[in-house]
Amino acid sequence: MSLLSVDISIGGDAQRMLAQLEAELLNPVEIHEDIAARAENLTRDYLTSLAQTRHATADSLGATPTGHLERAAESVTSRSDAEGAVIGITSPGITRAFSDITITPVNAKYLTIAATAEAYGKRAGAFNDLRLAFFKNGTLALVKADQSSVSSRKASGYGIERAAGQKPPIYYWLVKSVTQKQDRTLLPSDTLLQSAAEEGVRDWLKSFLN
Amino acid sequence: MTISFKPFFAALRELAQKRLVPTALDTEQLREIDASIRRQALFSARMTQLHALQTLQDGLKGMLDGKDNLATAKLKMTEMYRALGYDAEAGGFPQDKTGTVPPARKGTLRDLASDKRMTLTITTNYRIAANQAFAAKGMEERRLHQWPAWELVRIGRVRTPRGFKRTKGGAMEPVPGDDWQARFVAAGGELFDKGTRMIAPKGSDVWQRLGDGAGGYKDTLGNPFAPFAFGSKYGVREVARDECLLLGVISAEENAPDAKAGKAPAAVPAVQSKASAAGIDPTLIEAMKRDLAKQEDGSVRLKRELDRELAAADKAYRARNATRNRLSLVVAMLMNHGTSAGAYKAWMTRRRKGWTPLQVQEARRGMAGMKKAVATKQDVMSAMHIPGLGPVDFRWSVGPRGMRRIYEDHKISRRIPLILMRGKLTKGKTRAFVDYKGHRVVLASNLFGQPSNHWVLTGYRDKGKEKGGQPMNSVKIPIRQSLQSSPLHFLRGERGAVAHCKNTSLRTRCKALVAALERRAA
Repeated sequence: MSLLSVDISIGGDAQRMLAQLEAELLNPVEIHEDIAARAENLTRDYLTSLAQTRHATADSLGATPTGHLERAAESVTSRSDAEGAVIGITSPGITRAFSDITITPVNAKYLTIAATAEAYGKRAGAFNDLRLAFFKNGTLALVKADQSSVSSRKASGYGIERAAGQKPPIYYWLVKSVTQKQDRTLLPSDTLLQSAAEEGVRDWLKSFLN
Repeated sequence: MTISFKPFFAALRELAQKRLVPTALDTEQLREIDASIRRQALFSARMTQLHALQTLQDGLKGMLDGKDNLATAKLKMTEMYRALGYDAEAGGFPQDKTGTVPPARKGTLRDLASDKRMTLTITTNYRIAANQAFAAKGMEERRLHQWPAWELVRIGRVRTPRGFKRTKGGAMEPVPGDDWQARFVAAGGELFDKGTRMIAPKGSDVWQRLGDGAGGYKDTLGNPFAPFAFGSKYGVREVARDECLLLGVISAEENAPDAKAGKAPAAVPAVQSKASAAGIDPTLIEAMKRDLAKQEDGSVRLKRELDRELAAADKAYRARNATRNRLSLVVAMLMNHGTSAGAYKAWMTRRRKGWTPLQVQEARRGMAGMKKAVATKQDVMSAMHIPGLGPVDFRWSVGPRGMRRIYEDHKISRRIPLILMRGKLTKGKTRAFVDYKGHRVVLASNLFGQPSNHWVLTGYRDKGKEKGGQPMNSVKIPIRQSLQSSPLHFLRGERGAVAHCKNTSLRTRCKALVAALERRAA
């Protein structure tokens, strides 16, 4: 049995193409651009699908969703250069995809947590008829102030009606700080991002060979 | 690859290029203006006050910066409406000429201060800025090749989608021809993937026609990018080249890669730099890299040279804008309008006079409450809030005390909020006294023998009148009035700016205003 030997020699167009490929790989601006585009579109699509399903707080209160995930989806951008690709998102709420975040008040003493549908998606300052309420267990809340006329309250004996069970509606709970647990599902998983990067490289290769 | 949380710079740029245009026109009338002009302006139907538009722009900037959220932007708008004295049922802003803006029912979309309207205004403008930036990026050469089409998709949940309406019982009923698929087809679009996907090439006219409302739709925004209609939860996503070829959106020849234009410029500098760097000391190359800055067009410049040029351009820009802003202020002040510069100046004036914006706001609220109490002869609860004390109620008639007696005895109402805001507060357990230039206002917190966190206005004493003190007539809220009190004086200080203004029409207008004002003063 004789051995078959094959010699492959590269020349002409193929050699020029390989040289060009080498140059591209040394300065991978376009590769990174294609990777960035894939990752950007993956993140955008991922957040868009989340925006249509995740409304736990709004649903529990019976309120209209504020649409922060939609806005986050539309704020996804990408940037790339020879060094790498960066995906940018303009939404403070998404940061908890990477770690627990603790929110503390900046210009006030308390944070307000919406307790009714009417208060959801609004700041307490948007209302001009809230008052502070103290509870026996130490919690604080902002409740709607009594809007009835004095004459009607005088007739009812100042607070007798309320004592009988008519409690003012609670609009906001007041808390000193809030810690939100890490939620990695807010962004595509590392595996998905890895696949997107690979798709990006494939895109680049196809356009290079065409 | 990294993910970072940062401002949306491209959208911020789009927003910064828009001019603020206050208008009394409604949505129907605004639709008659050319869309290309509308795209360059920031406006909202019936929003006639520049201050309000400025606040809208600030709120949008905060959101695109990632610092604020929708709730904060709405709060800023609410505060501005309160400060401007907006009242939907009375025909909008008090500064508007009577009859120019039709009255609106409170809480509806026509009411600028309603939550529904504010949410719509802010969200729509945010989405326009974001999608304008996205559309521009999508048309970049390489992106266009790799992602040649847009797909119209739902991006959020709505209670009643387009193509349906709610019956009185709350059930959904279809409205044929109003859904997005019908609109897309009416705009000339083709449905792919068994008629389920609305895809069209990026350069297609379908997108402009969709935005123009082809098919007779009146709720569109006139843009070739999302959102295509008011309150729409539809947006666009990019479709990859492979998918487009598979679905038959484009043919293989269409949008073919431009090898000469697309690849050569990137490859050639890399080869050249490799060749030129050969034989050069690596330390020197590193030092050069530190000193070189790559520009947007790919060329390389010395960093310090670039910095110098940028600093000079920045200085020239600032100087140009300083003159323009000052002149805008002059014109705005005299035309009884406001600008961002005007608002700032007014704020500074108030600060100098010792009034904080909050004091001004509360004094105005107090005056409105007082007016209401006198007009309706009824109680006004939480009419104003005094720092260090709390909410104050104006109760018209509470036995021998209350507003009625003060009003009947002294014939005053306006000055009380001013005294409350500007006076010196002496607070006891159940009584509080506010003294200002010989005037005293008394407040009680246990009017009916029950402690309360609200303070009730119970008495007023004009000590000045008794002892010949200073009259109260000189005390007024310095809103606008502070600026308008001496426009001539202000204009004379700005003569240099007027003389050096290169904008002929603005210069002529300023000169005419100065002359008119001098004539009036004479």
